[in-house]
Amino acid sequence: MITLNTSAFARRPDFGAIVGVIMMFAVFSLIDFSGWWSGSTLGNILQFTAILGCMSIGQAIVIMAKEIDLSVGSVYGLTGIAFITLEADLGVPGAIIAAMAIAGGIGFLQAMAVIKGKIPSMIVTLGGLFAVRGLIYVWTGGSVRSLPAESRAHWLTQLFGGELFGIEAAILWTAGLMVVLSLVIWRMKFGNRLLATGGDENTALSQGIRTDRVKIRAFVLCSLLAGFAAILTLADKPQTHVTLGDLMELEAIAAAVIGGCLLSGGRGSLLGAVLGAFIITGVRYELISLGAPASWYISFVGLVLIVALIFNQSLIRWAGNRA
Amino acid sequence: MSVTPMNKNAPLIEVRNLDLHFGAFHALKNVSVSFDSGQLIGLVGDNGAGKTTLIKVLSGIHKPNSGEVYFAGKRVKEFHPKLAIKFGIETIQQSVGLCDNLSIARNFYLGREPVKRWFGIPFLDFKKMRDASTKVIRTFGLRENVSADDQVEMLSGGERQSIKIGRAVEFKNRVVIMDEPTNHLSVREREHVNELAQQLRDQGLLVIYITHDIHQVHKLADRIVIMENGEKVTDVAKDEMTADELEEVIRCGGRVVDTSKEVEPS
Amino acid sequence: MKWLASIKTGLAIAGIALTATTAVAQEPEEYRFVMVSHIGSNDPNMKWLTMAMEEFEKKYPNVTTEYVSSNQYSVQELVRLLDQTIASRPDGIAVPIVSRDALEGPIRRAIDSGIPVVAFNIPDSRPERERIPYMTYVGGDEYLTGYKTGQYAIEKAEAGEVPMPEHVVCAMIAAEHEGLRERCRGIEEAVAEVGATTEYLFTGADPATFRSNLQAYLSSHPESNYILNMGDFTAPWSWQVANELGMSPDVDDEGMTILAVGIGPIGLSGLKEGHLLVASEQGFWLQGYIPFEWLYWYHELGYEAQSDIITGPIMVDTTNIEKFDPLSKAVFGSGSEDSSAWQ
Repeated sequence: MITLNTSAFARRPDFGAIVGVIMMFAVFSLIDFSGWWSGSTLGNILQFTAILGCMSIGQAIVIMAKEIDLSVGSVYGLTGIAFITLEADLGVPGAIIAAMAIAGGIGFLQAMAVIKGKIPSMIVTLGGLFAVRGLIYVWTGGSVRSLPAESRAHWLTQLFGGELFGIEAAILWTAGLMVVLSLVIWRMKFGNRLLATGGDENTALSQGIRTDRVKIRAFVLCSLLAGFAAILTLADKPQTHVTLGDLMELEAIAAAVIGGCLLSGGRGSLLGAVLGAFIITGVRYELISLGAPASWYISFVGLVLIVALIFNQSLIRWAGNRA
Repeated sequence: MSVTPMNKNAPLIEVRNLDLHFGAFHALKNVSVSFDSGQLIGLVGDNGAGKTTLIKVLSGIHKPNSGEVYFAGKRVKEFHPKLAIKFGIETIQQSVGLCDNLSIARNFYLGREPVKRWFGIPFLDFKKMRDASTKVIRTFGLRENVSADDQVEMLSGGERQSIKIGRAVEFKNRVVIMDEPTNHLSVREREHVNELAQQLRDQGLLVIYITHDIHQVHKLADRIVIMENGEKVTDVAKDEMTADELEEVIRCGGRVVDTSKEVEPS
Repeated sequence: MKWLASIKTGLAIAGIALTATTAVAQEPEEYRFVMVSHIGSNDPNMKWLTMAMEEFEKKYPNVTTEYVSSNQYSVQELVRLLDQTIASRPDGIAVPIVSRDALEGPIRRAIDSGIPVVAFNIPDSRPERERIPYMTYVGGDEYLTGYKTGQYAIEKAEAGEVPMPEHVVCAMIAAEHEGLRERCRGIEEAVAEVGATTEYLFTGADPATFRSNLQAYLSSHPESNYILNMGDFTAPWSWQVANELGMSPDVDDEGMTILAVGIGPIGLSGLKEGHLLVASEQGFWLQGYIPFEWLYWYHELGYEAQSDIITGPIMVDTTNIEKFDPLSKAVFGSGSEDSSAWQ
């Protein structure tokens, strides 16, 4: 599929993100070599990238279907809180299954509102963002317990939150999910139909594709991935709060867009989404390290997003001219 | 799905007393018409005459309010594009049918992707997808340098129509509905598409060719059906009326003015 | 028309005089006070206030108090609740000034129609001449909370229990929150007296984001030796990050020292186990009690508070945990024995 042709390579949706990561490494090596290359810096950035990346993979899938999901931060929060809270009664495996079922259920409900209710996903999932966060407060009464020691030692908790070959489990899980889901998107029926649905819904319909089902699957997958990101987080660090996932939806969407997902649908990359998460996390981390004033990095995430969009646009044009 | 048993002598598509409303708009008024295999039908009418609505019923996009549709003698009860495709009805529209964001090979098999199992997992069979679409690219006269992996957005209007027609042939469809297939095409491309339409008919398919250019379709068609204000007003074999006479019919709001001309009853 | 108005006034005065005399003759006047709050039943802190109000009713049987709040917190919702409350003509209102722009109109209307208003929990931070003319403010003081915490740390450092502050990280969970900024300003000015500097670090409130941001800062600023947490729930996160970086975050005479604002099981268990030096409490219980005292005596004797009534901070450390344990149990369901957050 991919030839070693420069312009074909540049036409990859994630080309901008790949260049961005290279540039980020170059710039930070130049201005803060010892800080950037220290094990704890890259380890911390990768750990957080794994969590944000897991969410942004789901977001990328929804954006490819020309929809958006603003509720992922709250779904991440509710799934994590559900895991911790239900663990007392259901045990670790039961709590994980129940929490993921809650996540998937929310994705399904939102998808039904978008498809059957014919309400734009922007509105439905904005409602979801607030409603799910409200649910967290009502359910927990504002304070959340932590996992008892024996549950932390449970093999399943260790599988999601421990380390393997000295690498944090979350990093391996997100990398694995990215590879598997990339195969699903680019090498399987579902992906072909998802890209068609997002690229040109009327055409997809005319070729007999049940675009409603494709979108439902995309929304459910997105919520499941957001929920799974919370399991990855809490299996590692179970001390949490009702603020779990606060504002993370914005970073997840930004990561997907930096990674080359077009909001006009049908184009995107899961690798790009994870690299986008890496760029956001890396830039934020280094800004704080270098002593940028507090709360600057929020503006900076916005700035990175705009620069990435302009960069991606000009890349597409450049590649188009060379073809 | 079928209630009436298969009837060999039945027309391929038969429509009886079809009525369809969009709110207050009466889009189809008691339309009855039948089409046989191996025919090229010219479906003609002004904008809003109901011809596109009729074919949208046939391709499963709209469900009629009342009336019946039979396919090869079988009563059609459900309307969905997926079912129309199952029956072998392919609709070729100018603006719909190919996703710009996908390669030719991916578009070609959209909705009926071939798979090859690796360790039991059904992956897309890219070799088959590429081979079939490359064959069409070569047979249907696309530029030499176009490959199956190219994005559709790089193709010209005529090339797109050729791919859609090639796809209809490849999947052994029984009915090909062409909705204004030559709009926005160059003269040369237009002739090419029209030739392809005739080839499909010669292969025994039913071709329904929708246009408002009566002169163009008169040259190709075996039969001309004219619609006006949601009604079928004329249904004649090609030799029964000249293109000019038919044009007169359309110009006068679908009413046959010259009563000396015999109009085939529907 | 003037004579008509005066007749009306005369009648009204006569009416009031009549009811007043009968009231005195029978029993003490009945009062109804309403607390319109931004703290809903989904927030355990509501219990501090409702517990105090029950206590108040026991002491003053002729007073009924009502607690009005909604679970869906928004300024608009609070304004709506306040409007409804004013319409029910209570004898006094206590309300937090969550937004001075949104609340100024309704509160002025209440005062103009003769309902006394006391602000609680959040004041109108403008100078007294410009602010909403409520009778008084009862609650904590954000600046003082930061300042006293800083002073506490210096005292303990002088006693040799902990290192002297050199560089304080004020871990702000929300960038736009004015109150949090005031707390940071408080500790900044307190520790400046011993030559220490303060960073206002925006950490975010999500635990993973908080940890990532704090680690980014601490690993590039190893001179940091104090972290002020804006709620006790972020204290264990700070402790863990510092611990992973090998900064010795427990309460001892070396490395990092953790401070917090607010108490609950997390804060109390942190103090008990020596992870946390101090956690301040803003006198929450009193905020559900004192406003009604002033409303009551305003009606009975015409008293009016002449300055704000600051209920906190109260410094909670190992010496007075046992006083707060029962309160924590009553409000949050558990106290210092629940140390799961610190494992």
